[in-house]
Amino acid sequence: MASQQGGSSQPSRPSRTSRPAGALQAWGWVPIALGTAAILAGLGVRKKGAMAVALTTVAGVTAAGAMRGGTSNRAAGRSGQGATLDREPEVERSITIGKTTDELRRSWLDPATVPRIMAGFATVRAAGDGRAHWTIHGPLGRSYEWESETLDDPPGDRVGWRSRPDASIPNEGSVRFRPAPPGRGTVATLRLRFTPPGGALGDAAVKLLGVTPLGAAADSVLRRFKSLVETGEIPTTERQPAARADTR
Amino acid sequence: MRALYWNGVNDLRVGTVKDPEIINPHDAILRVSLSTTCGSDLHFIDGYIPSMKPGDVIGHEFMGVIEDVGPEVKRVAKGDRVVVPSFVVCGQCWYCQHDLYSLCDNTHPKPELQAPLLGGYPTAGIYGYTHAFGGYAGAHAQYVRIPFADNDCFKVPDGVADETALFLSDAAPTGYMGADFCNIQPGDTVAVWGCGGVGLMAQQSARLMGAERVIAIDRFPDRLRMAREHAGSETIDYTQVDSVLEVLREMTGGRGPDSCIDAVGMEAHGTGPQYAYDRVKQALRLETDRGQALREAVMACRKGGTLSVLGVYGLIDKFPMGAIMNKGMTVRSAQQHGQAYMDRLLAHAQTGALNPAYLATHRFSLEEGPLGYDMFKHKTDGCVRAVFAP
Repeated sequence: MASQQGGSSQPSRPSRTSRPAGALQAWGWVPIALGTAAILAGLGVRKKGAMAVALTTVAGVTAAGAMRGGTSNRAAGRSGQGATLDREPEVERSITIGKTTDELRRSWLDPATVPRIMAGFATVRAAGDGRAHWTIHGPLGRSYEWESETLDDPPGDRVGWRSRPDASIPNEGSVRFRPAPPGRGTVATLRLRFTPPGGALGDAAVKLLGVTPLGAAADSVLRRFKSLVETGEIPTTERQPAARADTR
Repeated sequence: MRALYWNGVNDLRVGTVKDPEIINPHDAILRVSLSTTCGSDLHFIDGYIPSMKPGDVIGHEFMGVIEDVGPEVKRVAKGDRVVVPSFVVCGQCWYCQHDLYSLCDNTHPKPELQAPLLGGYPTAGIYGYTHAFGGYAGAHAQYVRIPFADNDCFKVPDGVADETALFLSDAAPTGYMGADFCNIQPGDTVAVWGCGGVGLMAQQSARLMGAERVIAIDRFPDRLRMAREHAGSETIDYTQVDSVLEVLREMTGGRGPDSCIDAVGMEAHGTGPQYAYDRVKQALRLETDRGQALREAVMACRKGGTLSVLGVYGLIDKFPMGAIMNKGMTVRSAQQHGQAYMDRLLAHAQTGALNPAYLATHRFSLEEGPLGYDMFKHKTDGCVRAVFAP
């Protein structure tokens, strides 16, 4: 997961045997208004496949039948604009980690952690005072940036964050830590929610955006977090030998 | 460095690739002394297992000398002669701590590629064995990166030759685990389908664990001879008998073998209409597996016996579940948990009780890798294992 590039870096040779796009479809698509290529690239999907799927899904985006989690229309109401994408994509995913809830909470709040586990999804830079700067590289050279702030009100078993009010694509997330059965450690549950834009930005979305397997992104973030806290590193095949340009 | 890589179905090549480097703090770089072919490689070489990419360096059974270590590596050091099990394992997760090493939670960099195959519970990564199983560069090369070197590199004692240690990487632990699954009791008869490296190791291991009799089933006279001479097995050439089931039943006084080990896998050969059926369906890609050996093992096993599956499978048709259920059988299977067995295997290698070096029937330079695989695949000249020395 070395590259944050939005799928527009060097063309990789098509693989005849791997079908990651098909694999991703099985997870249920969640349309959101940014970052398709960035996230898919982070998950190892070829640009061609990612874009083809993006276009297909944008055409029927409101179907969104596979979307999990919340389905309210507060996004459109809050923005006051007729949203092109009228759902709030939200996912919730869990993983079990062999550490205590306190250890996990401390690890998550370590400023070095979130940038590492979000890599492949977003470039995150700690901006001090509980704030973080997020960048997602979209297709066609577009990138999306926002600042988030840590919420100080959630109950003690969770950590929450929210984009600052000026974010073009409002989003929020939280992670909650609960004890697993004896000997099994802690269940970490990650919730991510992105509010798609409407109006002109929403129209642009038709060209630019598509879908993000947000659940897959959440799975990946949780796996990276688990590996980091259980072993001190995140498994990778970056920079390894192979007889091709993109060796990952 | 030079490396043997997959360029497409039935297209292996040797080329120059960049050297591996230390990426994570628990990594080591191994200078490969010996590596060898495995029957499971044939599945992706022949195109039956997906998610290879052209240019992937292959090879998952190997030993060598540590060349460099990352800052967090404590237990092994440059210059150590070590053998490395085929699965990359972290040693920290729940699975590793329960000796289920090949199920490690933390070493698969691309779990989204494996989810459609296994339901979304990623297993340990493997060297040189498809991106669905981690996509780690393989060991048919001058150098290979070993993540979690402290858990995964085992020092080879003086007096254990490279050729012996080599097979403790995969063939020996796989076979040993397969025998361990059988929970062998005094008086037991264990039948083993397949006399390749894994099958021969399973036979020897069953003897070490106290089996009264071991019966080996194959069709190649050279391999059946090895089973008799090196593992003390009785043998059945399935092409020379009307019914393996009847022969096994008679050999066991009408009881059937107490345990049956499948050391063949998805490209099984056989005879008769069921084999023809599988062959056609596999050729048409309607099923990936020819399952003759596995089905026969189920049917041959005694009531209440154990089926131990070491062969690699994808999707199989016409699996005799009714026989397993009605005969009250126990089915055990896994990819090898080599790290759990390595101390015992090294001890057996030191005493000579387990000496797998005889599997190395053919030796090649790395440059001759494609030829080695061709001879291995077609069992030319009695080839059991092709061994490469970079």
